[in-house]
Amino acid sequence: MSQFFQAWQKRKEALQSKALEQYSVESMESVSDVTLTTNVEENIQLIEAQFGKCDDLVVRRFQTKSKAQAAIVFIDGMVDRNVISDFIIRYMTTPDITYHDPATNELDLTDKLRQIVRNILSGCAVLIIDGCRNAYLNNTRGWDRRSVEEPQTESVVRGPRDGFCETLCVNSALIRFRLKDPNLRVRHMVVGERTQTDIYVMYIDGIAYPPIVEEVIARIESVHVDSVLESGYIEQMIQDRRWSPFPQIQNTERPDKVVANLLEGKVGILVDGTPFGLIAPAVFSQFYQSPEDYYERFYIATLIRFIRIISISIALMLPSLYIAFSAFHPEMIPSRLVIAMAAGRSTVPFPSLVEALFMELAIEILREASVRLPGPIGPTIGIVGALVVGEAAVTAGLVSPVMVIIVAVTTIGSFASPSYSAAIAIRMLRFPVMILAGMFGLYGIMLFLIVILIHLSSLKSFGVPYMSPLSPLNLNGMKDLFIRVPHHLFKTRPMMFHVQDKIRIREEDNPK
Amino acid sequence: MENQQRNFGTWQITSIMISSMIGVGILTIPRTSTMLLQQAGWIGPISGALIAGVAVTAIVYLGNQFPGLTFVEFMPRIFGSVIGTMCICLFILYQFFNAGITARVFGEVVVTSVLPDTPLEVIIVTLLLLVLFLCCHEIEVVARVNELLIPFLLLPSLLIPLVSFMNADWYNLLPFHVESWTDVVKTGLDTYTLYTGYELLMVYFAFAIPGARLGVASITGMSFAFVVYMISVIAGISVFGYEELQRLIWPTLELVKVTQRTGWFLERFESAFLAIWVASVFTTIGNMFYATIFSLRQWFRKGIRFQRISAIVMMVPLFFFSLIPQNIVELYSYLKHLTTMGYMVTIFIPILLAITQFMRNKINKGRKENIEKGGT
Repeated sequence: MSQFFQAWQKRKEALQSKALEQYSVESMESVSDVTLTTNVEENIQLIEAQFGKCDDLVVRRFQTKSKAQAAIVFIDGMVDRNVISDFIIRYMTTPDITYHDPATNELDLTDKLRQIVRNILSGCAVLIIDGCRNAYLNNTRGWDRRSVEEPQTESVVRGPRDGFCETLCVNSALIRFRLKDPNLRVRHMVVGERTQTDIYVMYIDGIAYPPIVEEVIARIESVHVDSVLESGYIEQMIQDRRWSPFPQIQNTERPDKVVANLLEGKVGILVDGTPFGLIAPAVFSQFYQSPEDYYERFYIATLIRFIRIISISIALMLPSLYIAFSAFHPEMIPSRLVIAMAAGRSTVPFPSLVEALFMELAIEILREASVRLPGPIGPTIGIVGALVVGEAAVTAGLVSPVMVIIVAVTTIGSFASPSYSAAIAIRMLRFPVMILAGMFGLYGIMLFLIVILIHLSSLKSFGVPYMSPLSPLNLNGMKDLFIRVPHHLFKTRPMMFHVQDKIRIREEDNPK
Repeated sequence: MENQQRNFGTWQITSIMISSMIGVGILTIPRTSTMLLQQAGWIGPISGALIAGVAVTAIVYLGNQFPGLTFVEFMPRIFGSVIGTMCICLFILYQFFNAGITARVFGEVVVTSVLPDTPLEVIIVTLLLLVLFLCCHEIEVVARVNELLIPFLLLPSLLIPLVSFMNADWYNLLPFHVESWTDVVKTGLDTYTLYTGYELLMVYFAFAIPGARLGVASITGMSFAFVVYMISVIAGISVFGYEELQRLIWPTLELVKVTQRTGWFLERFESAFLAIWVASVFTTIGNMFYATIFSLRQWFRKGIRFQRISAIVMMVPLFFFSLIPQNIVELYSYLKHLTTMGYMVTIFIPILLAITQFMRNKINKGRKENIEKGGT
């Protein structure tokens, strides 16, 4: 069945990518591959014809010191105006300066119209001089960018406070700044037929396993979409199993996390225009591991990991356990508690499954609403929702008091996972477990858990089994799975990513 | 299959073995082993293990002789194609029926003890659907699932008997005396069925990574299962005494029931035990049915699509087969017939195969030496 589906999918994709390629070829062909002439006005007309009636295209005409007509063409807002006025126009017009070329840091000459158009679109200023066949492509890129700020989704108590921003070169510099290794390789790629989004694939030569790197690059190359607006586009197009609820590529806003993962032999993918970088391959432990685990002492780091695992299990199973216990196995609950629970439930007219679904739905609505609301009002919704609605629902006899506690604990538990996109997988799977628990009790919960386990075991991320190092069992990887052993015991890198340079701490460097 | 990678580690093989062996048998073991031996019933698992051990040795020998080949491929090589094909058929049929019976026993246990209002069919269907889901994946997934479910399997089966020792009356085990050794052998022939599941290794050994220690894996697997059964039997005898055990259908479940009020936050454990026990039954049936389907796939030399379709198709007769016995008594009489068939598949065939292969190696070696001698 799924085979057929995949075949159908592939066919659809092939058709789509063919159409897109067709479009891209056509649109580039429409930029006729003409070369420039020696006349400035003709050249300006050629360029303006490509952009149509475009009012943010600025053409500034002036005379050079040798009295030749010249013009500068750029798009308003994408360039650094100071560079253009100080280092291009002033250099070319002031007679005292004997230097002939504009004084910009990146300078290129071309007479191909196609290349000129592409460069103008990415923020270059193009200088055309009368009598000269070639145009100067000056790198004057500089638009208003958000400065480096603390990441919003992955805050830590101890650890660096800088997060990625929307500009690709800043993000890659944040990584370079932490990893001064000449073996750090950066591959530039462009994806998106219309958006022409820049993508950096980063890896450390000599640590990363070359087939994984090749696979990542090949998969990104095979992506044919019209637009890439966020790294999520790339993530969802290149992951191994697109129908899985579990993220097989990790995303992060933290440069330190990317660097740590590069050092483990993984591949980092940065996409222009988004503060979320990608890390591939990913394994299941991303659900409960945070960079902070490595910055704090290992006792507390290990303890906190266990707390996260418990809270993830709570987020997945607590409502369904409540349903199973109260509807099918009340004999398991201690007798005093079961009497108290029965007293609380005595006014509730619904079965516990309906009660739980109702409350979980309410809390999901509250969560979504408080995310959308502007900052100062957000907490108000939380207070109104949690306190007022919960209290009122109990008083009105719609839900039992225990249910309110359970919903609250479940929601708090789902926030404890350091990775948001991993946590939403758990949040989503909670509902089928609840329904199965309502049908079969604990047996139903176990059935669903086994289904999830089978699915997780079948997942692979770029050839790395998703549940490794737990399965296939890898004792070396267990050092960093549940417990985080002290740093001096991390003598080798994790083996599951087939690292090339295995040694992390050399014995001879650390004489006892 | 050439396109299958051989990537099962030693621990994965061990966990497949443990989880195929520990299944529904653990519920009845205290009764079956005390039936003849009475208070000395703890000898039952030992004699059963000895009988099974011979067959396991034979299978390990075969696994080392034919690395990367399943029984579907090496049986015709040893026995010739006609007898080989018959043996393959027998093996596949045995696994098929065994999976059906196991599912039925499981369904009966769940319906009688925790979900009295749920129809038996629903329990069996849901369990079989789960198995079907497993069968839609490649064989390496089976190994990983087994590996991940091992804690779910070992924890309750070790913990429950240990906890129930609190209610133990150790005098029930006395006197240390064996009435008749023929009874020991008879009980052994009965209790060896607890260890059935090891014959699946004839399939799964083929995917062990080169260099995996098959012998170590099977010894570890056998000893894990042995310890679990031994503790259950001792707990059963010491808590209930052998006379009372004869009146309990599932003594191990009763052990769980008497284990109450341990001071934890849960009062009674049988629902939790049965929920976790789903994992061990699932792995047993899953491994059996997967072996059935996978052998078919290999026999006809087809791909994963054939496997998926045949899993769906075979599921229907399996479901109806599991509903044939009308009640528990009839179910256990069917199980007895199956055990007789099991002697053939799980003991005689592997041992015969190993002996034939051993003889053939000897003869070939002799011939080679003769040729070498003649050559020089």
